[in-house]
Amino acid sequence: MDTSTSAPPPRRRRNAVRSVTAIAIAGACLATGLTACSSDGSGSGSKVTLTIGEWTNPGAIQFTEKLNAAFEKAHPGVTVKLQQAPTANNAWQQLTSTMLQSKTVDVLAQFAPTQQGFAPSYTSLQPGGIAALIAANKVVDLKDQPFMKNYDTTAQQAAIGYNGGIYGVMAAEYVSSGAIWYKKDLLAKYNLQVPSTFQEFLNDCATLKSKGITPIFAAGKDGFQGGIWQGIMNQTLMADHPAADSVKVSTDRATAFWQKTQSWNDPVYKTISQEYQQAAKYLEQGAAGVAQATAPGVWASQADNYPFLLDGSWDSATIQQANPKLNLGFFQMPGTNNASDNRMVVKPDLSWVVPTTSAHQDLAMQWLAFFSQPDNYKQWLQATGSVSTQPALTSTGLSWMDWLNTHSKDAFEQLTAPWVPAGASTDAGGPDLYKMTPMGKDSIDTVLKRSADAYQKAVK
Amino acid sequence: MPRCLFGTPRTRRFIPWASIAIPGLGWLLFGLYPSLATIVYSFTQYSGLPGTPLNFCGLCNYTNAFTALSSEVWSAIRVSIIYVVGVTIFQNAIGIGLALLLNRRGRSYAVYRALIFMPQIFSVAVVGAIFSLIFDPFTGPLDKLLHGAFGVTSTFLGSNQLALPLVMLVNVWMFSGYSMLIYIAGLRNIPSEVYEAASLDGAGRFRLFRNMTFPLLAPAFTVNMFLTVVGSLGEYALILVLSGGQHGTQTLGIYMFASAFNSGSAELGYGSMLAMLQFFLTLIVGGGVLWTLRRREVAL
Repeated sequence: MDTSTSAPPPRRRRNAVRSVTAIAIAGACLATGLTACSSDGSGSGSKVTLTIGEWTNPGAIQFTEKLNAAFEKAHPGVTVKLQQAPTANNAWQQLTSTMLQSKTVDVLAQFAPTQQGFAPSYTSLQPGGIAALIAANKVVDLKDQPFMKNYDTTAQQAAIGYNGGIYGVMAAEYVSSGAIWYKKDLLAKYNLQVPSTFQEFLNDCATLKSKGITPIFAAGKDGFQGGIWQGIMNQTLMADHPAADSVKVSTDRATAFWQKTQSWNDPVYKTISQEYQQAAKYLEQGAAGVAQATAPGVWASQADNYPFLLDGSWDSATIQQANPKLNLGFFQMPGTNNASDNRMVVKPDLSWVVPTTSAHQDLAMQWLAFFSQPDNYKQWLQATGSVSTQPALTSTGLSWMDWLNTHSKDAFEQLTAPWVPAGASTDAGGPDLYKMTPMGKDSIDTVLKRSADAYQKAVK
Repeated sequence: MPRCLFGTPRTRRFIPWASIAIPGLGWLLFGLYPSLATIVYSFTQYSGLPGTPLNFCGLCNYTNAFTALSSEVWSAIRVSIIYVVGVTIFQNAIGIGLALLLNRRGRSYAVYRALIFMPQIFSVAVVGAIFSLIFDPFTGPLDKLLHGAFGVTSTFLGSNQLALPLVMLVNVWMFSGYSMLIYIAGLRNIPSEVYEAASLDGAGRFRLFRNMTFPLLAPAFTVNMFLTVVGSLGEYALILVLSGGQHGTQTLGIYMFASAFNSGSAELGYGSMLAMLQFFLTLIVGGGVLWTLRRREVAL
């Protein structure tokens, strides 16, 4: 009997059955996987998964998880998945890239590129990061979305606008340059007030030093002493300009630098550097070696010393966690001797964007609308310590934000740095404060000349 | 048909091919493809984000590196060379010293060897975090020790003079155990009769080491030197965690990382060009070391 054509032998039949079973199982697994990924909700009874990507910031993550739970409750059948990674050591950028590559993210947190991210074509500089995605039309324009009416259009345009569109919701902005946390009780103990001019700030520091108190604490290892220089620079260059002019001032300066009609050697930067030196001499000993990872906690735990901490306004949760009993306050370091010029300087930060590859754009818009509801947004501000980007919401009710709440009306967007090509030296982007006295050994003139030369060479 | 552990003889014929094909496929995907992509990207102004244009610009990155940004590139190469020379010399000297000290029988020596090798198995992040805390001038123990003993303080990793030597020190601490193990393996290959004969001739410890041990350790020395040179040239993670490339610690690896990933204006295209420079530097320095030491082995 020819068994080869009529029926397979038992062993071969068993193998064939095994193969078919294996293929069937693999197929079922694949189908299940694809169903789980598929998300348009069109399938019978299938669940929709909305994926949010956000970098790790304890307060922000806690709020987002809470918001997602409320969103799921309001949208039966929808599951919201939160993907997170810390910003340190490139982890967040890696996650962003992976999520975009796999087209699995629907709402993604990004740092606002500001207008600095879009250098004019004559510079031949290509946009990087989120600006590159926006310029390549890989991000949805949110300008006409109803929830955008809750936000200040000019600020949104400055933070994440491009060619008339608005490509994200700038949900958080912080005081970064010249941002100072202070211990209210310690200032009260020495009968000191929150200063309103640069000279008053120096006087406060001198008084404290005479009492044996080290006035300022900063994580110099991570460049936080630069907040003094940046704060003075912003308020000096914006003096006599309305707040709405900040983008224009930034662009004009960047253009003048590129065209070499301005440079880091200009007298204004020498004055700023001299003032920086006057304030920096009140930093704690060894500031250049203190890391930001430990600085807020160390500062908070030393209730009887270091009344001022140079740190961004985003660190409220870390400071309060380190010492919940601390009577905490916050103010913008006054950078000039004209109190009316010493306005709050805010830096655009977390912005929600919707990639064009998102499979659930409608749902993403609903999530953003939900986030933007005043009640939810107020909780976001309380969790993150952000300055409000919704004009209707002026106070978060947090006690440490009292100064911010009363001064936010005159706030202007932080000036952006002149355009430099990728790979340009630190010197080209501005004076290297590690090399300038008191942290370094070089004089102001030496450091500024080095910066001016480096910039000239980098954009040649 | 007879069956055995790995299937029938017919299916077994494919095992060698599969054994080559599977890792070969892995190499193609995770070795060759990224390397070729790096070469291509080095001729672009690519942001690195999926969906954004490559922006081919020919040799623009290479031209920039040797004109407009030459000071930055040469400074990074100079720091890399200092780093490699320092780490290679100290790691191998300490590795040989430890090998001579701990090449003994006995359980306690095994424990010492394991303890000295242990830092090698820690992740760079853990080592970086530990030493960042040790070197913290405000809360770290080292500053208190220095202040207590000598009345001096330092900013350690925040010092323009100390940061690079300290990062090198941590690198040496982390990997000396690895060098030690290779040297111990080399020492155990030296026949004991050689030492006995030399001792009978009246050779002291130093002469034994200089004229017998060190020349006979040549193969282990070559391997260790080559691995240390190539490893320290490619090191960037430890430097990133400890100093972030600040205070004169910007090696070519760190400069590449910062240019490709570390800021809003980062550009994978420029970073890829730096990766190519790093590749050629490794080829020249690593190849040069290997060639020289191989010739030395032959001469011995």
